[in-house]
Amino acid sequence: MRTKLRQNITGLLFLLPAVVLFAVFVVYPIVYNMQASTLDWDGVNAGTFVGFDNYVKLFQDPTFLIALRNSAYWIPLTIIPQALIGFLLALALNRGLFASTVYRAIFFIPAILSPVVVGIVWQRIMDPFNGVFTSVGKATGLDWLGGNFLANPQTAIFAVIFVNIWMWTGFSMLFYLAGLQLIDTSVLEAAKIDGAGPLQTTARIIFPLLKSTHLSLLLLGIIGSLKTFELVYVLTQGGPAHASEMLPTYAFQQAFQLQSVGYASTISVVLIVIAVASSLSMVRVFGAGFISGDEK
Amino acid sequence: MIATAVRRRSRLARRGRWLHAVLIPLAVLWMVPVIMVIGLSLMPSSNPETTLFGILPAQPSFSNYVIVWQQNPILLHAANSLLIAVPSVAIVIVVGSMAAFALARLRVPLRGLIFGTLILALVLPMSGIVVATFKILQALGLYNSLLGLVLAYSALGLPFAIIIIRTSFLAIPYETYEAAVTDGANAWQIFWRVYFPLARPALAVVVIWQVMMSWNDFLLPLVTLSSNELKPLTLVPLAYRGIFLSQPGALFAVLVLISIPVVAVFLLVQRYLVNGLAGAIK
Amino acid sequence: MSLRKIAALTGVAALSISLAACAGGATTGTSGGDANTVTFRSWSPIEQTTKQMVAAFEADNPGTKVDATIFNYPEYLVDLQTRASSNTFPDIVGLQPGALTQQYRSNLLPLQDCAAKTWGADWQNKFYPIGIEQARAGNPAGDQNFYSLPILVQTVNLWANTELFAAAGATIPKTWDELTSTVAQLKGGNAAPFMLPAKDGWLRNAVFLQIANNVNPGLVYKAESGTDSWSNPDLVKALDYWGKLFTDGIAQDGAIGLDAYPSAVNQFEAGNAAMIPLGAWWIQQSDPTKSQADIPPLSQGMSGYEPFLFPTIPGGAADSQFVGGIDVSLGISKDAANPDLACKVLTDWIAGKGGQKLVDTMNDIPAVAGLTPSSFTSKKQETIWNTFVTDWLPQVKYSRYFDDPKVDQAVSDALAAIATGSQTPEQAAAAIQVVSDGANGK
Repeated sequence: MRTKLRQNITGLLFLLPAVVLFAVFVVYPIVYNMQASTLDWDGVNAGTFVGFDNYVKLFQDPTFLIALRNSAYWIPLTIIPQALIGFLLALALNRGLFASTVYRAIFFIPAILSPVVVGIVWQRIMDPFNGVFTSVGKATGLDWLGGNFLANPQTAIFAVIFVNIWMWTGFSMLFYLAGLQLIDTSVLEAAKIDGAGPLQTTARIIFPLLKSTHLSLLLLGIIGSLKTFELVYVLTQGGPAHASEMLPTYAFQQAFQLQSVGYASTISVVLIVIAVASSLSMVRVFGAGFISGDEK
Repeated sequence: MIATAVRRRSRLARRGRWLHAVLIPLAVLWMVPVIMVIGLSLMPSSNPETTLFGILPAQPSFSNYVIVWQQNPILLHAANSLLIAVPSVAIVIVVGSMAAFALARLRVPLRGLIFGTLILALVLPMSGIVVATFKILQALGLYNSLLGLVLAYSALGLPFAIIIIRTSFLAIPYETYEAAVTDGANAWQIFWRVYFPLARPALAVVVIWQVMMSWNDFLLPLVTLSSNELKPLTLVPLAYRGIFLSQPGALFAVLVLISIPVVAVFLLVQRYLVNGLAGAIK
Repeated sequence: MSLRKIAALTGVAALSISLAACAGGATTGTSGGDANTVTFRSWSPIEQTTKQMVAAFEADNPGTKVDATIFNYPEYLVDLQTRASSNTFPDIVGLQPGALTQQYRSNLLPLQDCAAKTWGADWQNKFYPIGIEQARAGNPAGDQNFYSLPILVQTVNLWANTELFAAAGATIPKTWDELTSTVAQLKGGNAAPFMLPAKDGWLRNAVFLQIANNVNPGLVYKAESGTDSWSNPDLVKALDYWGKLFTDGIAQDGAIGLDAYPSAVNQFEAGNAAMIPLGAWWIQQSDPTKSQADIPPLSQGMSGYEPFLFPTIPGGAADSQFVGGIDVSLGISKDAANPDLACKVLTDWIAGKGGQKLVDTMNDIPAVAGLTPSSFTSKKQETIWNTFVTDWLPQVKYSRYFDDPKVDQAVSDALAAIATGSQTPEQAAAAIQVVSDGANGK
């Protein structure tokens, strides 16, 4: 019993610094947002308590529903391509290939760039009047390149997703590169001795062994998708007519442009709830070991 | 052991030469927007015309870099950025891997709950918490101080670090831990001497992530720093981003300058992504 | 950091958080600070110009210091809100008339006494009438205070690239029919005849207000205040004409995805567009204080440009109407450490030596009449400046803004919906009406 207690204390001591930082900088903002979400408040003058009115209003707000739908597109359409391309790049660049470092840097640089720069540049690329795609399309006869991607409400969100994939695939690659280092090479040697081809080794051995990397990417991808802000803001400002709105862009607009901090906080709280709920459902699907660390 | 690994890698590399045929065109396409960013930073305000499908300026010049350099104490701002980024990376690495170690290997009550609440910090969008964070820093007397920013970024970066590092700790066989316990090592020694060094690939990822976050964010320093002497690099572009900004050259020049150190960190750290666990454990 | 220190810090943190103000409270208190320093935060004028204004003031008032920070508008809104709720409100703030000024009204000092003390009892006559009218927009009934004073004003209008017009033998269109025929005449080259950067909500609304006032002057504001309806046929017609910009091939392809700054103006300045809707502030491209070698040829001395009003609409007003208003106004914090000094800075920047520095850069049109730039770089530039200052601005009657941010948003959403074909003008009018009713408490 006593050793158990002492072990508990050791564990808690290891966690303490993190928990302290956390309690100060994360818990208070959440509490603050929850409280603000019950107010009709402009962020400056005294607010009025309205109970759950903001929540009722939110679930009838068509823009909120569009933002939810866009998140539902965004999650699979960014996570899967980013993971797939990132995985293949990591495999290719993990074998001491000539100029691997250069390739890695090239694929990773987009993630480093400021979203402001990315927004302005991609707008110039996709501008159907005079952009790069249009000019290349005219020169090569591939006219479809000059489409109205960002301006059309049906395609705007997908155009932003496309840019997001370009921006963040390098990050998935980095993850898989780190993950590949955890695989014991003797397992691969053994597979080869057993006569497994490179394709089989990849699909049957490497891919399953990277399970925890896949899951981390999935978790970070879901959360990253839900909180996407800057890229959307600079590329479309959530438009045209809210067609590419995401929850954080809508919250930003409500808080600072429409002076409805209470309503914006409601959106933030719902965002947090959705993120936690989807993380918990991941636990259900992939097993509690992922969270509690009882795996292996 | 190491020698065979190296031999194996070079053999693999030779067999993979055909990959260049795929990688080169892909890398070129991938770089087009990046080249445009550099191109725009070289576009002089006197001539906004472009060439090569609009990718490059018609008349490139370094004038924007000269303007930016003359109008701002770039080195002072860079020093401030370093004073924010370096300590926050150090804190996240040490504190994050300690927590990850506890969650992966030590006995901790309510482990699931702790891990679950970590996720909360990942979700918070900066614009939604800036007011509350500001109030905390004020209450702690850390308003207008770089330390306040270091602590805030560390707190926000921790969950990512913990998730990533823990994954890598879990991949280290449990027998390693048991063997160390049998040898009489205490928890701190096992953590610091055995686990921490083995997590290098994961730590490399965390370093890059934390550098990106603490180096690039501008909302928090904008709001919490009032002295000009404390301002980090990221506040410089704001002066070139006015509502009536017609010539983005100077803006792009600053942003290219800001990106260079992050690229350098990436190049430095990425070599830890090639020699991880393989061969090191046995 | 030792564990004990961390534990102590946690205790302090927990305590302070429980003491700190919670969400929803109105904050009052002193910002304190040094009596000889004035802090200023705004998104405009641009930083380089602000530095000159600060230097001018400090040179005239030895021992004083102005601490100015200029940054982008969206971030400025975040910053201002944070400061208002944490007793760190700057002494002088940049404001927009209407909603933004009203939001911070309780943090702001009435400025008419400061103005009267500096300029005399008839101070209002110094300003263009539209500036005085807008400065109090949205005040509660009976409240005649000036919580902000305009520093820069503007018209919203169209600009032509005179070189492209001359090359095509085209003339500046005065009516809608002339506009469509001119666009047809200018088509086919590499330049867009009419570049409409409709991604920006502010620009959509500015163009729409020009159209609406040309259809039926002043009606749109009655609809906003609830004394008329958005489904009034004239407003539906105005919405319809906005839509025609897209459906009749006047605007370039992808107009709704193009932002004004920097993408569209960059192309206009490179000679890739014959017409563009902007405003008086475009004259800042020819800033006489800048090294002229850094200015693109078209912009040097405004050599390639000509401002003109939005063409008249068939069946509407006989002449094009003047639409415009305050670009930036300034307010003083109620808690300023030294309100007299802040007043001195503010009035100097509006009409004194600092103001002269601002006008010298032609950042926009000064809010007070009679300030003239120290130098012009061309005759054409001087003519254009005089057109704005003596002919246009005194005549501006109609605002380029809506008073209520929610109506403003609803109109800009509706215009985007029409532009993309997802709403008809009638549906759009109905959608605006709903928001407008809400704003008017119906």
